[in-house]
Amino acid sequence: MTPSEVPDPGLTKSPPPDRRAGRDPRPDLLAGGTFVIVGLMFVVASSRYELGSALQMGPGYYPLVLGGLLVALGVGVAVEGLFRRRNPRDAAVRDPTPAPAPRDDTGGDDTGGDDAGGDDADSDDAAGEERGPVPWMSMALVVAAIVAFALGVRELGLVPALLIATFLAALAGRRNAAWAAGVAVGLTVLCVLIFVVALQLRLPLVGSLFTG
Amino acid sequence: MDWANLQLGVEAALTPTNILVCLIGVVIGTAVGVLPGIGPTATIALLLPITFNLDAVAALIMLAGIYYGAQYGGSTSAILLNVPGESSAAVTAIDGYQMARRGRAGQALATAALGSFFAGTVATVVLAVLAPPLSRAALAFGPAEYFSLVVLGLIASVALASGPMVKALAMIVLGLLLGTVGQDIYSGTPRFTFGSRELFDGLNFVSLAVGLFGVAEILRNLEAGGIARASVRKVQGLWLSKAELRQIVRPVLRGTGLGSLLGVLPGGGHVLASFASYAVEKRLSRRPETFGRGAIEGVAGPESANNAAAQTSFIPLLTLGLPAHPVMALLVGAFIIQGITPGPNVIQDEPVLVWGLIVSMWVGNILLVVLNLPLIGLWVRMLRVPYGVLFPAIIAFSAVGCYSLGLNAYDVLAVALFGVLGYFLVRMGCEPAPLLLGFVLGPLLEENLRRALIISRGDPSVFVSRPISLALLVLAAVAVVVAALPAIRRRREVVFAEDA
Repeated sequence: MTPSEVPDPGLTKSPPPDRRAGRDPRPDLLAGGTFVIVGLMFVVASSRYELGSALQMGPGYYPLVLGGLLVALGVGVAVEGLFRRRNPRDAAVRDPTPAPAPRDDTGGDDTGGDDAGGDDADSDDAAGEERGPVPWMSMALVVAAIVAFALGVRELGLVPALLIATFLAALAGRRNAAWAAGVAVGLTVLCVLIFVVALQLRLPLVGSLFTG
Repeated sequence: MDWANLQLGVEAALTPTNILVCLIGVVIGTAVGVLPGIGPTATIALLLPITFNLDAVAALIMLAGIYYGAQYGGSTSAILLNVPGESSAAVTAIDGYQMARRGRAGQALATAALGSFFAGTVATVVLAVLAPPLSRAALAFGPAEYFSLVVLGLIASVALASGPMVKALAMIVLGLLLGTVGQDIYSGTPRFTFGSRELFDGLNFVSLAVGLFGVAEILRNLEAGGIARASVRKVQGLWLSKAELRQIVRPVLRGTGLGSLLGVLPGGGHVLASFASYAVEKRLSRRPETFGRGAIEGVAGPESANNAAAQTSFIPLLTLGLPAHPVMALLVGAFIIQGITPGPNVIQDEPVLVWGLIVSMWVGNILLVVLNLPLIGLWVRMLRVPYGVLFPAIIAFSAVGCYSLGLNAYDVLAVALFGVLGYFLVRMGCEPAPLLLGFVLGPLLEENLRRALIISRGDPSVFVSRPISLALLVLAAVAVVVAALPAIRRRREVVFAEDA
């Protein structure tokens, strides 16, 4: 959904400022740069494989062409980002639907802006602009949770790996060890019930580390 | 329609096991549709490894059930919370939430459920009628036609979707490139594997999908400190009066027609369909001023359109093996996991699977009406599960699910990698859906490109000298041009915003 779909207390009073006029080109430049770098990496790596000809393509031909295409598109993304900043689209190009209903002011029954960031405001111009800072700590905890499970599941077994993973993940949402421990125990039981009891997956509950 | 095959399908769909998996599918689908913050794409990706243990028919029935179940569930939170649980329910939120504010939540929910049921039923018949002749036509396709068809599918999915098109195209190419990782089909040379045996078979599709759609979405929600839970309006009076029924008949019929038609389009025609239906109903209404203020037609039309489209979007998948949007791409993955190569042959080679799936959709639609109307209180209560508990659960399911697929720790690590990648891509304004489509279709594209060129002795004009291939490429070019026109452009803003 476009952001205008989601009731936003700030936007109902005054007409929304045209976001594109002051559009930050950085996300586009960053995206373009990423595409160029990844494209170049594929180009370099593919050129080490046999290229062959159009008639008898070697393993490197197709990825080489695609890598080059990605570089070109990356440049295009960056250029468009710069260009669009100076050339804001007019406000008429917004949304096909009628204006959204005004925010329900009875209070308390609307989730409002929080969901806008999460779910709905992810059409093009929303990304990179109206979001909070990167949640580095939460991201690290989420990644750590998954990595811990991956590395621990064989040696430690399903139950300990799940306990650690869900504990770390729960901490990502709320930095409260007691609460996270409670969530971890509950979710571990749930996972064992679903995967081992109901779905009959043959995963050892406790790993080789404990059973010797 | 093919009666013998239809009967085969009825027999397949009505076995106790398959009714059960269908029920499980639509229950899970309704749940993720209701809950904002987790969508059908992530769910189906998560459950792919589990369906590995089921037989092909049951697996596909369940996954399909999740998909159209989510279309139903999405409308529930749209009406009760003004938060579309699923992107296509956004239109429903406009008038549905207004009805709820005026104490008519029950009628809105009933309208959505009945409209959806009718549309789902009709669209299932459309699917049954159209699929066989289409797949017969597709059997005449050679590699050149297939290459052009995949190009059209990829381009059209971007053209109809949201976001700056260059970014979406770049995401497709990135997906195509990621799809080349692994052994080259012709020479057997391992490509981009860094000498790692684990990568010989390519990147794991499930890890990619779960990371891009599940974990990345969690990271996005954590930015805002999680999704707030809200108190929900009371629901009463699920019955429609005769006058109300009369009011919704035409919108439902029109919505069904529009949806069936637009659903076939690549790129998530169901969102397009609900917007189109809303626009049509408003234009045809004698009281257009009631739209946006709780017009029942504004719920009936789009809801029907969206569900009809959800069903007919199976047509390209079942007849051509071409996924129209990310959920269908995941179903391609499910086919492959089950050892079935998607394509025009599927209908002939696997009649039980295809027809069982089609009939099960109708069964699923009945189950959904039963689930959504009397059990509405249950879904509403589910909206109170705090996100702080929900997302660790999603992470745990992802990890266990991906690990159980091949007992391979790398598959789990890849989830974290793609999760972070997907998060930053979205932050830079790049939707992950085109990447997934590219990844799924990449091998098909390369294989047909190389085969076509071998057959033509390296002459690239084969793609434009064969009429069908040329027509498909021209369509792809038209899609690009049309997408650049402002009238379509604003519609694109919404389509690819799959909130998986």
